[in-house]
Formats: sequence, structure tokens, C-alpha cells
Amino acid sequence: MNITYPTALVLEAIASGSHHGFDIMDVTGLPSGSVYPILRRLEHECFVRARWEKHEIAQREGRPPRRYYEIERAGSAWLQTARRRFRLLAEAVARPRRLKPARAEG
Amino acid sequence: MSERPGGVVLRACLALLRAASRLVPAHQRERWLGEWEAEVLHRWRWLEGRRSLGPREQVDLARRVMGALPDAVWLRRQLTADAELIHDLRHGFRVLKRDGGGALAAATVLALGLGASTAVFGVVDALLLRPLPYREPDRIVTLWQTHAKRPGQLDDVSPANFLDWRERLRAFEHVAAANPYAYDYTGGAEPEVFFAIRVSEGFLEALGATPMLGRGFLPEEYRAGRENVALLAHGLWRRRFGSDPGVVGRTIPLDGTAFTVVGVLPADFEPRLLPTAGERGIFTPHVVEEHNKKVRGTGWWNVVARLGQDVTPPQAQQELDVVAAELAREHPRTNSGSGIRAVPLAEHLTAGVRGPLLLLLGAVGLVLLITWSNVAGLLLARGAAREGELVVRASLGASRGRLVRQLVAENGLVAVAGCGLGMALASWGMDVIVALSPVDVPRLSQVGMSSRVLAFAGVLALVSALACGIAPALRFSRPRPFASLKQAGGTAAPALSREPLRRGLVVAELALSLVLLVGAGLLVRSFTRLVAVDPGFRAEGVLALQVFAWDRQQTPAARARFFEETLARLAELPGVGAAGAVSRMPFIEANIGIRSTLQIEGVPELPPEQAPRVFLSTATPGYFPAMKIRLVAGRLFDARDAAAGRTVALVNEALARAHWADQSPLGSQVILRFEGKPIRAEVVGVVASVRHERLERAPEPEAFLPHAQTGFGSMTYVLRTSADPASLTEAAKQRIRSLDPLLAFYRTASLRELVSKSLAERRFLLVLISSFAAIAVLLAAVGLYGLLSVLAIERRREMGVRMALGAGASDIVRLVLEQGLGLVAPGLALGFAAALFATRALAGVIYGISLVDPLTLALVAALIGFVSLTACYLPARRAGRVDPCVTLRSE
Repeated sequence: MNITYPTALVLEAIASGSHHGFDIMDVTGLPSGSVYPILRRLEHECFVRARWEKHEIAQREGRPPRRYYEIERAGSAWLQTARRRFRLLAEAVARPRRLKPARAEG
Repeated sequence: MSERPGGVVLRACLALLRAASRLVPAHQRERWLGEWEAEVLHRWRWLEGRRSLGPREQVDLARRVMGALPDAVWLRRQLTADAELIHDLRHGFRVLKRDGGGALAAATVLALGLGASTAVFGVVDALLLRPLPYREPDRIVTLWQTHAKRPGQLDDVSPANFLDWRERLRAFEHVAAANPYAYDYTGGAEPEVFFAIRVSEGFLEALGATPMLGRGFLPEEYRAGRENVALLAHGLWRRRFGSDPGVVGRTIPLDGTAFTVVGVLPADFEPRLLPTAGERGIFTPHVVEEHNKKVRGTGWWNVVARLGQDVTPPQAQQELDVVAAELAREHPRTNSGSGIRAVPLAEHLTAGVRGPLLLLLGAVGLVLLITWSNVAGLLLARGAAREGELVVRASLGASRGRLVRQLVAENGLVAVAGCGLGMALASWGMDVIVALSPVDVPRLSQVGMSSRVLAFAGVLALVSALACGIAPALRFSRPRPFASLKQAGGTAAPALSREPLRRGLVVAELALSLVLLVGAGLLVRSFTRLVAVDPGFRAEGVLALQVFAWDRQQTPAARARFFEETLARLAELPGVGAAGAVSRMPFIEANIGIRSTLQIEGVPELPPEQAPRVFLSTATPGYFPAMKIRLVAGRLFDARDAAAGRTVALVNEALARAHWADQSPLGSQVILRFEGKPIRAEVVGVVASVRHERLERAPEPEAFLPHAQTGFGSMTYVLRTSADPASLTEAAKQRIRSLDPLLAFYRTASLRELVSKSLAERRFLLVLISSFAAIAVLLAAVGLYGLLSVLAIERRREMGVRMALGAGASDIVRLVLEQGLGLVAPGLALGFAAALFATRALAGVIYGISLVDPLTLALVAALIGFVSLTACYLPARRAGRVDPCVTLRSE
């Protein structure tokens, strides 16, 4: 899998605690049209694992269960390599741009 | 999930998600949609909870949802080609499962069509297409005499002509003669007839065959004194000698002489040169008898030859013409007007079945066309029902190629299912065809599921999948978004009624099935005409036993006495009403048809070439009552017509009409030739004419001499019984053997069986073409029914409105019926026009009716009309039952 900046960014976001698609968009600023295909690819490569949120949580909040993504061992190893290439990766997701209209970056 | 009413934006977002989800590969669709919906709803609630659901946030949410489209498209694209195919197939499978009816119908239709055509191809391949199992089979030809007076007829070859051909022909490597023969084998528990072929030098070489065990004949074994050697055919070796290789070198008793077995021929060696019953089990060298070497006028030999290297058939034919012309100059009395024709062996062997098989191939071609148009029609209907889905996918960017692949894969599944079923049907169908076939077809045993047949079926299946799949695929992969989307909600199928393709298919199906039906109708009508023909005898309750009693009764007087005594004993059998014997037995395979010139005293004598020729038989007095042949005038043979008595003759009605016209032949003196000697006889009676060999063949002039005055040895016993004739066979054989324990029976059968066998070829064609016609009509009905059902569904809304405005159910039924008849009428017209041309192929097999038989055409029209009406009425009745409220509400 090619190391691209958006891919690394998404993985970094998951590693640092953003587990849902929309949250990942929030912290990375990437549009949904980019985030989701990246998630699919990461999942396909077994870098991340997707699960359904617990039913009780969803029921309590009155909505269907969300899907959340967790980083896997292979994903962590790959992220190490990516971090060496993109020095500012960790900083990029450390300052969340919450509720900002997402503009495509990177 | 709670459904608190959200804003317009939320509802639009969710709708868009659902639409986009159609693009997601089906196996991921639910999960994909769940994930997106959960995210959107979560975000919506969260913003609501923070009371910060401003227009900005809503626009942001909508933008995010727009990203679902590229996500869905990406998901679809990222599947590899393989995964895509598997996916297409799985998707196809699900779709087929969903509308199981249509798919099942398509697969069944395909199975019928493929099964029928594969079965017929299997037979055609084994009998006509596969090369003969000999070395360089294309170079093997059979040679025949022809005569300018009988164009198109191939005659057997006379011995003297054969000997001259063999000496003069240079274009051929081997020229050999074969003639059928039968040996009485007395080495088993009871005497048995071994059917044999006596061959001249070079026979095996001409065919390029070598024995499997032992050796072929040596040159010196074709000379008197050394000729008592035999080659066994594989079948006889297995059946009679238990496949014992030790039989080579042993002697076996044939016709009371010890023959040494020198070899065994391989299993695929099946050189049937004559249409005779039974396998030819033994080959022996033929030493040409001195008296036969001069016979030039009568032929009974079959000649086979191998074309020389580098000789083309036209060159060979040129040489044959030259030799024929030489012989005609040298022997003008016998050979003027006589020619030589070479016919490739393969063509000769299949001469009897070629016509029917090609007809069948034509019929099955029609069935195949109907099948394909029908399946294409069914799939078009299914495609139409899914046009909505395809439109959405195309609008969202699915490429045309992608949609075509998907549709072809779906239809490929139908083709595979249909093909599998079709193969089973084909294998069964081949058994049926073989069981029905006229018995003496060479290589019939080789009909079966060979690799070639499977390859053919595979190609058909592939063509079916592509042909049936591509038409709908091309049609629907270019959806007309506006037309389709305008029909909101996707409940209504797009207007198929204005679909000329599908209407054309149904009209074509009706026309093609009508052609087949007319063909089948003509065959049925001529068959019934034929079995109603009066053959001149009553076949029921007659047993026939053919013998050749020459060996132990060596004088005419001894033979006459032998038949008199055996007949007396047979007449005593319980249940036997009358017993007689005749030389020329109607419908028996080895028909002893002796021809004689006829000269009537008092009528000026004509030169020998122009003298009238008649069939001459010899019969015992009991023959005519046993066959129930009617006496027209005078008397039958009786005790007065003994060897010493006045020489008498009977003539049949055909002969009486031909030569005495209105006068009575009784009392006339005629001069006939029997066994080379002139016989002067007085006509004492006229009997009804009897048909020989085939019911459709008009009786020919025939005269009878009393057996007591001829002492002929090749005779057939005829017993009339009140019981089942077959049950009498053993008792009758015992009675005859009590006088000659070594006498072998050449052929025993009931007369009914013999007559029925002569109809085998017709029955074969009749049954198969009728089955194909039935399949075709069924398919056409299915096609019509399917189209009308779709039409009725399309117009549901219109009908609902009409009914709401006061139209009755009968008006609606009429509406649909009218639509159906609009298809049936052109179909029938087209079909009849095509039938007028197509039925010309049947000209050779139609008997007693015209090719444009009004009754057949009327019956066929009635049948097709009835079937079509039924096919139209069912959807019409359903349409008439529509509840207008339901229809209108659903729109």
C-alpha cells in the first residue's frame, strides 16, 4: 500500500482516538469522499479493524449503532514508517478543527 | 431506531444515501448504509443537543453526505475483475432467485431447445460427420452401374462387368467386390444362420482395414481349393465364440464344410454395403464361379474401391466413363446405355438416413431459433422490470460496459442452468432417437455423448448466453433516464408495449412454430393415409419363416416334396388356419425378386430389350389363403397343379390390367423365364395385387407358378393363426426340422412386424418432427403469454382508470385479447407463407396428399389459434379482475 499523506493522516487520527468516520473527518479536515475510501483500503489491508458500536449505547442515544475503527498491529508498524516520512503528522491531528466546514487539504 | 421527524435536509440526506447505496456491491450494501446513516443521525442529534443546528452546519452535513457517492462508486470500482465476475454471478443468482418464475421459464425453454438440438446433432455427428474408422476414409468409394433409362438409380454390378473394371481401371488401387451371403452354422446347439459377406481379393485393402487378431486373406485363398477360410467380425466373435482368441486357427462347420478361422476384425469394422437385416458376422473369400464370369446382364455384387494416390474424384470419374463406353461398345446387348458411378463410401452408407437427418437438423434449427427468441424475450421482460435500477446506476456513473457485463453474467447463469438440464435431455433424447431409428443404420451404436457433442453443446450454450444476454443488455444498458425516471417510484415497468423487438420475436416464434406444425401435420396425415392403404393381404396373425432349402434337397422334385410335407405338418399345428410358402415374400428384407420377360401368345413378340418384364414368384396352394389374398377371377393353385400336370400360372390384377386391359387373361398362354429356362403356362386365375417392401410403392405386375412345378429352394413359409404369431415360432421350427434337422432359419417374424418395420423411417421422422413442433408451439405460447402479461401489467393504470370510469371486466379482457390477436394474426400469416416454401423439403416423404393440404392447414390454424387464444386469455382474464382502487392507489 502506497504511503500517501491522506492515508497516513487517517491512520494517525484513528491511532490518536478518533474512531468514527465523521470524527476522522473532523480531525483530519479531509472530505468524506476521501476518508471513506481510505478507511475501506486500510480495512482491506488489515491495518484497521471495523466494529459495530454496542447496541445499548446506540439505543440510549436514539440512533442506529455507529461503526468504529481501531488500529491493528500491522497498521501501527506502517504508521511508524509514515511518521518518519511526514514529520508533522502527529501535530496535524493534535489540533482538532472541530465543527469547521471541512475544506480539502493535502 | 427512533424516527423523530428531522428537517428536510436530514430527510434529503437519508434519501440520497439510500439511492447511492444501490451502487454499493450488494453484499456490502446493508453494512455501508448502516454506517453512513448512523454517522449522519449521530451528527444530527449531537448538533440538535448542542442547539447549534444552524444552516451552516446543515450545509456541512449535506456536503459530507455527498461524499457517500464517491465512496460508493469507489467501493464498486475497487473490486477486481474476478471479484466483479463472482459478484455479478452472485448478484445474478439473487436476482434470479427473486423473480424465480421468469428465470426458471427461461432456463426450461433453453433446456428444451438445447436438449433437442444437441440430441439431433449427436446423431447427425455419429452418422454423417464423423469420419469412417478406416485408413484415409475419403479415398474409399463404392462403384455402381447406372443406366441411361433409369437416371439417378444405382444398380448392383454384374460379375463380368466387375472383372473387366478390375482389369482396366488404373485410377484405383484396389477394386473389390462383396456380395452378401448366409451360411448355415452347425457347430452350436442348434443350426444357426451366420450372415456373411463373400469378398474378392483386395476388399480389406480397399477399405484399409486390418484384422485385430490373426491375418487377412492370402492371394492364393481366392482360388478354388484353398477358399475355405473365414474372418470373424468382432460382434459375432464376442457373441458366438466368447471373445476367445484361440478361435483363430480352429475350424468351424459352415454349410457342412470345415472353414478355418484365420482372423478377427476390429470392433469398429462395420462395412455394411447393403441395406440388409442383421450384422454381417463372417467374411469369406469369394472364388468367382466359371458360370458367373460370363454374366453381364444381371448384377448383384457391390463394388468398393480405393482411389489411387494423387487421383482426384473427377479424374477417376473420367476414367470410369471411358471404361463404361468401351464396355458398351464391346457388349452392346447388355451394356449400351450403361455407365459407372463412384459414390464415396461415407455417402453411400448414410444414403438412407441423410435426408431424414437433414430434415431433422432443419427442424431443430427452427426450434433453436424459437428458443433463443423466446429466452431473449423473457430476459427482455426481466430487463424491463429492472430498468429503474439500471437507470440509477447509469446516472451515477456506472459505465455501459459494466452494465452489459452484469446483465450478460446474469443471463449466463440462466444459460448454464438451461444447458445442464439440456444435456440431460439431450442424452435421453439420443437414446430415444436411436430407439426409433430405422434399424439398419450403420454406426448407430456410436451415437452418444462424445466430446464433439459436448463441444457443440458448449458452443450452443455460449452463443445462447451471449445472444440471449446481449440483446437485453445492449437495450437496457443505454437506459433512457428521462423516460424511465418520469415513471416515478419505479413501480411501473417502462413501456414495453411499444417495444418492436419483443413483439417481433413473438410474431417470429408463432410463424416458426406454425411451419413446424404444418410439417408435422403433413407427416401425420400421410402416415395415416399410408397405414390405411390396402396392401392386398391381411397382415394380422401371419407368421413368416424364411429358409434356403438347397443343400440337402438337391433336386427340384425333392424340394417340392420337402415343402409339401413340411407344410402338411405345419397345417396340423393347433391354431394354424392355413399354411403355404412363397418365394417372393412381401416386406421381408431379403426379398427374392426374380424378374422374367413376359410373352403372351397371339401378341407379336418384341425384341428382348423391349419385352415387358414382370416379377415372377412361385407359391404353394396354401399361400393365398394364408395371406388372405383375394381371388379375382378363375381359380387358385390346387392339387391338379402337380409336377406332372399341365403348366399353369396366376397373374395379379396389375399384370392383368397392363396386358389384357378389359379382356380376361384366363385361358391365355404365356411364356415366362424361370431359372434361365422358358416356361409356357396357361393363366388359370387372377389374384389381387400385393404391395412389396413399402406400402407407398404401387403394386407391380407379378405372375405366380405353382411350387410343385418349379421346386424352388428359397422360400418363406407363411402361417395364418388365430393366436399370436410369435408364440408359434418354436413349434413351427420344430415341425420343419423334424424333416431336416440341419435347416437354418434365415428370418422369422410376424408379417405385422415386417410391415411395421418398413414404416420405421417414417415413424422416426414423424415422431421427432411432431415432438419438435410440440416444443415449438409450447415455446411460442409461453412467449405470447409472457409478452401479454407484461403488456397487461403496463396498462394496469390505464385499465384502472377505464374501470373507474365504468368499463366492465369484459371490456378489459377484450382490450388485452385484441392486443394479443394483433400479434397472432401477423404470426399466422407469416407462418403460412413460410410453410408453403419450407414444406417443399418434405416432398419426398409425403404420401397421398398435396403439400398444400387444406385439411392439414385448417387443423394447424385451429390448433395454433386455440393455443394462442389460451395464451392471450389467461393474462386478459387476470387484467379483467384488477381492482381499480388498488391499481390507482399504487400509482
